[in-house]
Amino acid sequence: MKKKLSTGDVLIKVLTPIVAVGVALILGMILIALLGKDVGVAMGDFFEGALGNPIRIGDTLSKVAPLTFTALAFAIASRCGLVNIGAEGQFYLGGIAAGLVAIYAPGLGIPGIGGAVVLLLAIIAGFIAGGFWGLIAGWLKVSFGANEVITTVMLNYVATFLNKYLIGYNGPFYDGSGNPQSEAFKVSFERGFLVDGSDMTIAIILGLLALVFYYIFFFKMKKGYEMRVVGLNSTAAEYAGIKVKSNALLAMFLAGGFGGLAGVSELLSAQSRILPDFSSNYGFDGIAVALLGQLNPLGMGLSAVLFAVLKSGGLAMGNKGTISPYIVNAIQAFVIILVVASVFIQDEYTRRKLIRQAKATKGE
Amino acid sequence: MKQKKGLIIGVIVVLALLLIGLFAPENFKNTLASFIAQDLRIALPLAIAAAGLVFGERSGVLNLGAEGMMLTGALFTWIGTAMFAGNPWLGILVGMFSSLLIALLFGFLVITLRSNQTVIGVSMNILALGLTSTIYRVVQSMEMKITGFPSLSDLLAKIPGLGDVLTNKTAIGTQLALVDIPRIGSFLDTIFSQNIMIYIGIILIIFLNFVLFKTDLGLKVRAVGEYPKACDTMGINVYKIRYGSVLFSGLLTGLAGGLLVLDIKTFVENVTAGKGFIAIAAVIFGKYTPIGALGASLVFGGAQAVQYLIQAIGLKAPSDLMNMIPYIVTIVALAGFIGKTHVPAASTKPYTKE
Repeated sequence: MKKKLSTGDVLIKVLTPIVAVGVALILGMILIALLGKDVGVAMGDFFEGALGNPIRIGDTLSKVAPLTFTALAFAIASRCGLVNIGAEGQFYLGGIAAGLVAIYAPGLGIPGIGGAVVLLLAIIAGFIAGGFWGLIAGWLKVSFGANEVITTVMLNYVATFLNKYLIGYNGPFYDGSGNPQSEAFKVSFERGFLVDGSDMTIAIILGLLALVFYYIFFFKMKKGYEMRVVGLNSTAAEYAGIKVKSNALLAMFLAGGFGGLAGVSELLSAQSRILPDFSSNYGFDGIAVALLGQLNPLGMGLSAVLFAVLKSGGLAMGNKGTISPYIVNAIQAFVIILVVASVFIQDEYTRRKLIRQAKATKGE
Repeated sequence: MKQKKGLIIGVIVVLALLLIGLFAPENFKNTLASFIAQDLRIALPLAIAAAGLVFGERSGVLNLGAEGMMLTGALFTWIGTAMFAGNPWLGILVGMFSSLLIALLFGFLVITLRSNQTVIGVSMNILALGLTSTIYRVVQSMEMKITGFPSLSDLLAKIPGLGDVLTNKTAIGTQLALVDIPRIGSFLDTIFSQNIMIYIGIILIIFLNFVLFKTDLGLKVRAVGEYPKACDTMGINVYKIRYGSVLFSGLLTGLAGGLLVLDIKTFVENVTAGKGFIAIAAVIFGKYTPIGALGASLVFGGAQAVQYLIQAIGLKAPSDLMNMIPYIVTIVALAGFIGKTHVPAASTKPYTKE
């Protein structure tokens, strides 16, 4: 299905993200210097915190799974021509659903509900809850034409407040401890996967499987193909007999579901109970991961690792008090801007090449 | 026809308020007056931002970076006000300048480089959140003295000669002389004794409505958003009009952010909390007109002011659930009214000059 790419095209495609990340990091350092902080110290804290020893590396890698899932939440919708900014809210819904299963399912006394089964139920519940949250925005889009960017952002805020309510002092799942929080999970993923003593769990394998699913679904299955046609040209899709609306709904459900899985993997790996604001911005990080990876499964996997390092290092700088961890958001934005803007450079490159070719043919 | 409808609604609202002021029980009047005052206070930044965004939208650029521009304007108004010894007027100029820079970057990316408006808009928000929160943590410890804008009554009291006639000085502060009118006086005072920016804002919005629909410039902006190619043929510079509209929307969203900070008199990380997006929803809900956006902002502001109303009545509801209301109302408004408006035909479509 792919047209032959020339070496120049491939080179540009591979170089763009690398250059973008490099430039974004330099801009980040300039920003740190402008704010009167020592760049050397900041960088030291950054790398020490993200990659300082095996356990730190494991902790950093534990962030790959939620980042992969939120990236997929953006990418799946994007492939169908929708812009899902709602991964943050879907993360909350998925986390809440999975968390509740992990707290209450083991106590129900149903025979056969052991650790592994509870985890499986938690994953399913998280997927459905996140998917439902995505589906709301999808439904508002196809039935009423409501801009999904705005509705998903609004739903993010609704989800945050819903979570705060559920585990707050008046909420149904408050544990009565004096702090707004739920009871502790009775079952969670086993930590120390691959790296002893780290937060890494089997969730990273789930993230990997999700990327494989993404590849098979969009590039080997009819339904995924249909969805991509809708994304590229919905009018053409309609003429070809593809149901645009049902594809959009399915895309938002799947996107939301993966956003939910991000919440599941973070909560049942790195945390022990549902807390207010448990997401720490994963939903928005996913957008940058997806765009840097150019919606390509391999690219997204690699950029999830890169952003895990960024996130981990940023938090370390924040904890040491060198600079706010929010600096990572600024760097992320630089990356997105540079990657998106580079499309212009690629277009110019193609345009000039065509002009050159045209001139050459004329000259013959 | 449309203007007549607006006039009729206005007359009905004023009459209803007068009737309530004259005949309703004292308790009800106080609650209603403070609800209206809260609504105006909350709606002002939304309406100002939305009025600016109307211009961007009408010229064919959907500025989804409004949230970020508002946030930037908010932080720098806060810093600027502190720099200028608490002077809100100079402070807000600093804020507007900062959001103008973000708008310039946004404009360059989506107009000149023709990048995807949605993605760039979203990245502007991430950028602004990152920058403002990082800078905020550095300047956090600065001495910040924020006074905010004077109220109408305070300002009137300062007019030499007339000041004493127009206002009354009482134990609770300066009130409008209106307060002496029997029955209805204090009701009107609560509604009208507002931050001076509310009046300036409303006049500005009416003026912008006039510019958009009654002037040559407004016609150009609207034409560029409908059919840029035809405009280009007619000798209108599409890029110039779009840059102008985007920069103007940046200025006003920055002003809106500044108003927000000067109203609550402090800055916190992500202080805008989605208000930029609500302003975009107000543009759509208000049918892409500045006055319509003002009306929509009053609806959204009312959705938030309901919290105070419920507290005033003495109902107990979990605050987290109450906090959801403005966001849910925005979603419902967006879903319920969107089909009934005309979206500018060239919205979100970059223009390439051939």
